[in-house]
Amino acid sequence: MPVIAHYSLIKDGVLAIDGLAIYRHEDKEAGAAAFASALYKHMELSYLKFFKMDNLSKLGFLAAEALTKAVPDFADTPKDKTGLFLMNTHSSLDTDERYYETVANDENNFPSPALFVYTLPNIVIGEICIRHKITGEHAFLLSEQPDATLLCNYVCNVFDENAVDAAIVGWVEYYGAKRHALLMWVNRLPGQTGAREFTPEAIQQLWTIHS
Amino acid sequence: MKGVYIIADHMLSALGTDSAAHFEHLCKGETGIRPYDKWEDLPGPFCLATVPDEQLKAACDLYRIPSTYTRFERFLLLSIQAVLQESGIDPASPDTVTILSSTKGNIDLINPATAERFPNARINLSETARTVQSYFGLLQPPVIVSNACISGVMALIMGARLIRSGQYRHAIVSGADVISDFILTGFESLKAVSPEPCRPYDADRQGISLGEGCGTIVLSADKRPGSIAILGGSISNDANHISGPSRTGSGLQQAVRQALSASGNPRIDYISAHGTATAYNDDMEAEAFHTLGMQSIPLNSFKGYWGHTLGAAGILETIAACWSMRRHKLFSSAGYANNGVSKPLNIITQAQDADIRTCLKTASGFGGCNGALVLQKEEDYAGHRAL
Repeated sequence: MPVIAHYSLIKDGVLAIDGLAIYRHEDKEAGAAAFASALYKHMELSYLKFFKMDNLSKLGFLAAEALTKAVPDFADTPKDKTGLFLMNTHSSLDTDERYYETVANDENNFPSPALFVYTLPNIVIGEICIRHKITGEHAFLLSEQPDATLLCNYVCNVFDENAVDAAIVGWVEYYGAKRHALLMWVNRLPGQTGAREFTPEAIQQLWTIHS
Repeated sequence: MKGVYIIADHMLSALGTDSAAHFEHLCKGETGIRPYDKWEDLPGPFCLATVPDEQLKAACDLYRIPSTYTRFERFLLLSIQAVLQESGIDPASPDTVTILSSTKGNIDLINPATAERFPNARINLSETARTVQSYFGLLQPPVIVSNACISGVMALIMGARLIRSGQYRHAIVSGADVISDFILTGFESLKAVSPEPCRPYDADRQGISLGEGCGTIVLSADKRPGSIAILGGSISNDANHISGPSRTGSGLQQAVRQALSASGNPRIDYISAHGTATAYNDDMEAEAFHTLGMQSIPLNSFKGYWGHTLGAAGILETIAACWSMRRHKLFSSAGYANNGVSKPLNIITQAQDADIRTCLKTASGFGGCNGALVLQKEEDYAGHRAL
């Protein structure tokens, strides 16, 4: 059975790995963009594509960045056998609304192709794949609530087919006040300290602790 | 390992409101893409493949779908109702999972003029899941796949996996998208919309024609006479660019290789490809099929018939491929006349009789995603459905 080896969390101005805060944004009033930029600096990243991403992609990208740095076996997992399975409620609605403002506005405003390309939820998967050269199985699913049973069952199906050796699995939501990323590193390596079985209950428990 | 079979299907697009109507038009090579001087408030000209209002109304009346639902919701409800009647399966059974695929769902509600009659929250696909759940009395809200233009193929692969693992006996897989000013302006802003009906793989291709519609398939662990099997499928990512395909088609190659390997490497008789008629997509596919040594296999794109239907595309095109297999017919790739891809492919130019046992269905989309699915009919297939 696959296990949850590590997880990353970004919520309320905090970045945590395996439940331990590694960065806390002091300015609670600062907007999401300021937090994302501060986190980018804190992680000492040098990746110019980051600055053209939409909010959902930035959030997922940063959570994946922190997670993959914390995972000892990430670099050794073949990229075509690394999966990426994400879920949220509001799809890309934050960017959809921003894009539609450029459509509906006055005559001097033109529909923005730079925003339109981010009006799909799976673009965050694309951004993470580009960054880490991941080419494996993936899916973006939508659900009113985090559906731990579906995520677990489907990801286990993909493991059972031997289509992946390991996967990033989780929740990335950015809409209104709901800004939240919880990404798990799921693999099948034996004897990892702190790993827990990848079950709907374990996913739900992580979710409940951190929501 | 359990087999997975396609036991019922329904198609809704500019070409008609049931699968049989599509088959007739495909045999004659007739397209549903039409020129428009304007679309709602947007000045054209455009070429679009829209579902005519009167046909939609007649189909909704036939299946008793109330007009209190949005256009997108009516697409789903009538198409699901149609397959339930054909297959006789119980959607409310714990053995049945329902999967919806869509890129943008009720996105037309983002326009205040369209949104007047419906609550704001209805724009979320998770609300669509609730709507479909309560309409059909499902135990759980449907699973929703929203993964750009491979959503339909991905939903079928997901349904097949959930059945193969023994979690469900049946999967109702329904994909839909509607034309909206949101989507139309977006593709126009990318300069991806063709001024004439789209011409996949042709030398004079100028981009996509947007379409709308819904395709629904019932997958089952129980084989029925004449059902077509899903042998296997695979998803990959280019890891190259979010809105352009890889030049070499390496991601598509990976998905095809994996799908074939998961299917026991059968000989492929026919490819139902993605073929959007953008310069980059079609060249990428040509590169990929050449590298895979599949360039002489008969291939078509259905986009020239009902346009690019986004989240419905993979399902509508899979159903059309099943009709090819069942009726021993290869359909022409509408809009194609002269080779216009970087490496030539065996594009089907005329509807013709052919015995097709095994088909490869592929799709690619924004976010660098690719999907591939292998379909096969019984060796002693005799055909089962009379028109």
